[in-house]
Amino acid sequence: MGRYLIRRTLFMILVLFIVSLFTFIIFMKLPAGDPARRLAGSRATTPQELETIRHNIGLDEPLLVQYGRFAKGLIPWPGLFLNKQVYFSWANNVPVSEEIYSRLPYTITLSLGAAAVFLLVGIPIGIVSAIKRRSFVDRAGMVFALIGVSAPVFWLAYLMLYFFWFKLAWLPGIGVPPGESMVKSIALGRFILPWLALAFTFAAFYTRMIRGNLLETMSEDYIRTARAKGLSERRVIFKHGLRAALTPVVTMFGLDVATLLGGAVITETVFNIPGIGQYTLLSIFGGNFPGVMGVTVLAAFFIVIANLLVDVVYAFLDPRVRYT
Amino acid sequence: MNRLLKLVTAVAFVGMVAAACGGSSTPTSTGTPSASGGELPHGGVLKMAIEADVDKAFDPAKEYSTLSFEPFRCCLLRTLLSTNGQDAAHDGDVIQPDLATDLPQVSADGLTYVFTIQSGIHYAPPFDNVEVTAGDFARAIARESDTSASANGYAFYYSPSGGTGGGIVGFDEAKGTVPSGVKVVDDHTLSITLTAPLGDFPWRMTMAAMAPIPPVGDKVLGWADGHTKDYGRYLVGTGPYMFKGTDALDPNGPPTQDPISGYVPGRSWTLVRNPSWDAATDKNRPAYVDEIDVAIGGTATVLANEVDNGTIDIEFGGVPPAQQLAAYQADPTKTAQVHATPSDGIRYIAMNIAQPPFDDIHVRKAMNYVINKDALRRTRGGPLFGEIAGHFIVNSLTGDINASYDPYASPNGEGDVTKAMAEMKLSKYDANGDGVCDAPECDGVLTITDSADPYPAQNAILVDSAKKIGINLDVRSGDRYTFMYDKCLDPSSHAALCPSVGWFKDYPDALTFGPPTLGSAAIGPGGCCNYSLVGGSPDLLKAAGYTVTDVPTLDPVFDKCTVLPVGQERIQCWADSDKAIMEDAVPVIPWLFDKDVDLTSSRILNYTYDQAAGMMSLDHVALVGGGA
Amino acid sequence: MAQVQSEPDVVAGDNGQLGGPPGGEGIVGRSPRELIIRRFKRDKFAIGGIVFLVFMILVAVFAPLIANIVGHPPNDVKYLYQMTQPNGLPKGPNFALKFYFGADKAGRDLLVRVAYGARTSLIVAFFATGIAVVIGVAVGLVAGFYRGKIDTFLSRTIDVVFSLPILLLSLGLVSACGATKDGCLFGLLKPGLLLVSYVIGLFSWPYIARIVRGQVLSLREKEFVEAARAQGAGNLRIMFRELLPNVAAPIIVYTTLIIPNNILFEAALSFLGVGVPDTTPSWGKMLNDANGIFTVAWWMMLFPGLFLFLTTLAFNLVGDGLRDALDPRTAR
Repeated sequence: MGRYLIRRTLFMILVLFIVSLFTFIIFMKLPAGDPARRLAGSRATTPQELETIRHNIGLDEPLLVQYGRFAKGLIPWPGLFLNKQVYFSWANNVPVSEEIYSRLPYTITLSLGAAAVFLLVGIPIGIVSAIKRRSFVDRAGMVFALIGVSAPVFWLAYLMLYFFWFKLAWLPGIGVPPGESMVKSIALGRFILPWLALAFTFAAFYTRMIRGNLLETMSEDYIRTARAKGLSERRVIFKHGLRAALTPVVTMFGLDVATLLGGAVITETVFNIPGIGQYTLLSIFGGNFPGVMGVTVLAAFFIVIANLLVDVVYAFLDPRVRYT
Repeated sequence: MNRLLKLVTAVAFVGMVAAACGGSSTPTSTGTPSASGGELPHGGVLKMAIEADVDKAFDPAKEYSTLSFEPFRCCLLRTLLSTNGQDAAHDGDVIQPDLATDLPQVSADGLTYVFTIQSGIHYAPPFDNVEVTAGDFARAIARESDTSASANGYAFYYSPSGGTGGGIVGFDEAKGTVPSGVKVVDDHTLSITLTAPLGDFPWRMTMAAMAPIPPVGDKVLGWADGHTKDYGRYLVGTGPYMFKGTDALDPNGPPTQDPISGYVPGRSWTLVRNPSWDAATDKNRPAYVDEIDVAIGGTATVLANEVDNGTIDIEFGGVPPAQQLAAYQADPTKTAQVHATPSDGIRYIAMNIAQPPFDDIHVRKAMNYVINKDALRRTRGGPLFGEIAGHFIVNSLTGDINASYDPYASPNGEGDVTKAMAEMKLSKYDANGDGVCDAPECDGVLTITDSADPYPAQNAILVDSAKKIGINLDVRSGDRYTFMYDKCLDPSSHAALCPSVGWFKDYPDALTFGPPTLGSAAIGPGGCCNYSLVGGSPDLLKAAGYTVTDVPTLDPVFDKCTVLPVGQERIQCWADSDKAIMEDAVPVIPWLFDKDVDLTSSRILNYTYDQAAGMMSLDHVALVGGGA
Repeated sequence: MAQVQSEPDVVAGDNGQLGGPPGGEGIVGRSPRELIIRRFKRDKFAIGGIVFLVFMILVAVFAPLIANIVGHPPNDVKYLYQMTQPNGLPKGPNFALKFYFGADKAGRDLLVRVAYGARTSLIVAFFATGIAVVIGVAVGLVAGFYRGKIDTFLSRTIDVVFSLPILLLSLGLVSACGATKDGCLFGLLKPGLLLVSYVIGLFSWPYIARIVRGQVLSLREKEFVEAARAQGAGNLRIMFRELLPNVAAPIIVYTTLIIPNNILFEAALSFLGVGVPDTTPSWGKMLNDANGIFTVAWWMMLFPGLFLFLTTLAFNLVGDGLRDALDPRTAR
């Protein structure tokens, strides 16, 4: 088990390294043109000014050295991780870590709330649909799931805003005033529509997946044996069926929460929630590479940690894994 | 919908109260004249929101964003010279002494300026026992000469090699020390010597980078020492307001001490009264409100809603959405809350005069005739947002001399295809003389634009207009920073047309208009913002891969005006240069003299526009009932 | 459900009866393929999906004809003054002027643009999916067949691509390469529909690869592979002649399931402002245009989003129908 975990950890570190490398290449090497020029924007400048800007953000060094500086900021050690020297926002003149940490609470609230909704809604519907196959509940559940999987989240968001905010005025509109405390924002219902929009898609996936898994499991031989043994239907489902059906759900759930924590870019943009997803977009379009790198790496970290946790859980649930 | 009714009633009630209190509510108002306080109530908290923060966290040497001009001028930093913070009608574009006792004395040769500094001015706490002296201004100039500290700012206004006609003697060599041309004669007398006569030098001394820096021990940069990157977060000034928590700074603490708590970058600004500020020493700033709270974040629609429901008083520097404006203008109780003021800005389309087909002046003139400027304005929001522009330099900078000058006029500004085609016939790209371009150079004309609203709609209009004279645009759009500036400023990208550009004055002199947009020193990628490559040297053009190496230049025209002292002769010179731009070089298609449109809440008694900064004047605004 | 498992591979005759009452049909044997098609046909929703997709493909193909009929080319601004208010706000459906879906800020016909948007979505979806399938099948076949170090390397690669933040990197790639006239990677990635397709395909091939690999792993031990090898078939021949046809069914199913994902991905990229060039209408971009004014210009938000939704839904229905036809255990 230990060896397995060590191998997985090493692989995850490799993944982080590759993610950072890709990010660096795509955002620094590929675009023709000069980040310093982009930063200066429409201000009148002289070539010397531009040189100074370039020097200040380290662009006059060879690419490998530049990458090295950014890579050093990925090591999760206090003082190194997202350090202020390198990870200083090129657009705002503010440390990237400060910007990210001040936005993290909003993304966390958004993610956890949405996760709670899609778990509490998606899983039960999936189970009931599988059990009561071809019933009205099943049909309704599948329609709901189909809509969730097919509707683009930004369109759903607009529709919800149009009806629940603009027409009915049941819920507040877009945006979270910065001075407001998180508790107040939640209490005012600012997160309700974002939670619903985000959860809809995920819930739909989970419903379909659980239904599919459960149906498949329930037609397995060992279920028939359990039934033949005379166990009640409920016991059959809950004791044997669900366990097998839900194991892949655990994997997916861990990864999905991690992905959400990395920032739901579209939802945050449409609903104007000042979280990490919005920050990603602002950094990309603002030419702020340290911000982009910072968020990417943070998001990758979440996924890596989630992967590891899931692997541990999986190893517990399925002993075969431990010995490969 | 009940919510809306309640709101309308509330607003109407407040409107009546405001009228009773004697506040002015003139439609499309331009502010009340009295700067000395008059009968306007003091007190209250002004609540504003902005969509995005300033660029360089309020470091005055680096900060060049238009958003920062107003908080620096009105509230945080006093400088030797400033303006009165009002609109042009109330002399808002006239230089006033601020920390200086009077306008500077200028030597006969125009090279030396002597400033006398007011006595008894103290900094905000924790430097409230420190008096402002001449050395503090020298310190600011020293910091400006440090290229790391002033990167991204406007050091070119003080550098002899900055391409602005001259600078302070010794500035380029100083590199973080006091330049040799700056002399501290005594505690209240400062002398600055220039390398060449600069008629607009007083204006350059109104910029925030020239604000005094408090002394600390014998450090050359004083309080700014150790804050090359983040001085804005430790700012100590002499204005009527300061960031909340400035007094918690430790004057003897290390540079790594906590920054001012009242400024949370990207989240909020909180400005409170500066206890050291003495109104008797400051006749430019009435400073009615007690506190200014600014929340950062939101879109125009979101913030307009917040103005509507009273959460904030204004989206500062924003563009109100069309539907809100329409609603307010239709409602008689609310028309007074809509304000539109000329912002001294020009929106234009830049043509690359080295790139075919725009290397032919007739094609450029034809483009000026054919573009439907009114339609472009419509996508921006209609007539409220500005006047159709017939020439390049805004009228306020040339004393309205060119007010009716429109060499390519068309009915309603909708474009004149007939005249455009007549012009095209004279072009070498129209071989058969039918008024429509038939050369291959007119196909796939690379057009680089911004993809944000309303530019996509504008691009469609441009494509349609250009097609009428046979020019087919190949439009590429992306976000402004990583796409547009990169491509439009780099001559080697061969962008033929850069439509989504505009220019706003830095201060009320046309020097900040002509040379930075059409002077040869402003050609990229090092310089900015000459997208048209006017005045490009043959070497530069050849190096960038152009076959056209001989293009018109406007440098001599501009140089003539730069040396003239401020006055009628200078203004006439700039007005003449505008004619040269529009008839001899024709590198641009100006289409809108921009207006700033603001939507305010009913709490604001006297909306005043700061002409110099281009935004609502925060030290002149008063709240109904003192914010009760 | 147990009955399904033991159901013989025969199906009742057309009168629904098994066996032979006098005058009735006898027991008819059908091949697996016929069974699949039959089961698919029974799924009304899947049929509905196909009908709608055919309709959308026709709309996309005949978009210029539609533009001709109403008289408004997709980028035409001739009706700017009639279809917008003086303050720039667009006007809604106007049957007299034949603007059935209303107009956008430049006075362009939304119905025509929705029709052209179908082109963008369908073209990108098919190209991107095509690329994903080609790469995915190749990788999956190789990984599953050769196993060992090759498999480990390819599987790890799949893992890595799964971990990449695809939205972020796609934004960066399309942004960077869409900027210049020549594109990046020595002119390979030119700006336009193809660029977006490449990028999307680049990030979706792992789904297919994983499925294919799993299938190949289990199939390679079967007798027909051994038989082929005994006949002297080389590795490539085995992979393409023997294994590939047997993996075809899940490939088809998963292909139809990632097409809707790719459509939504392209829409998301366009919605965020990065994607197809300016003059190409795209449903995602139209939804972006609606931002801020959708409360008063609801048509700008409703129609593009509706068609995006319905198209994606149709693909999902077809995909579900195929999957259920191939594996009735999980059928609805």
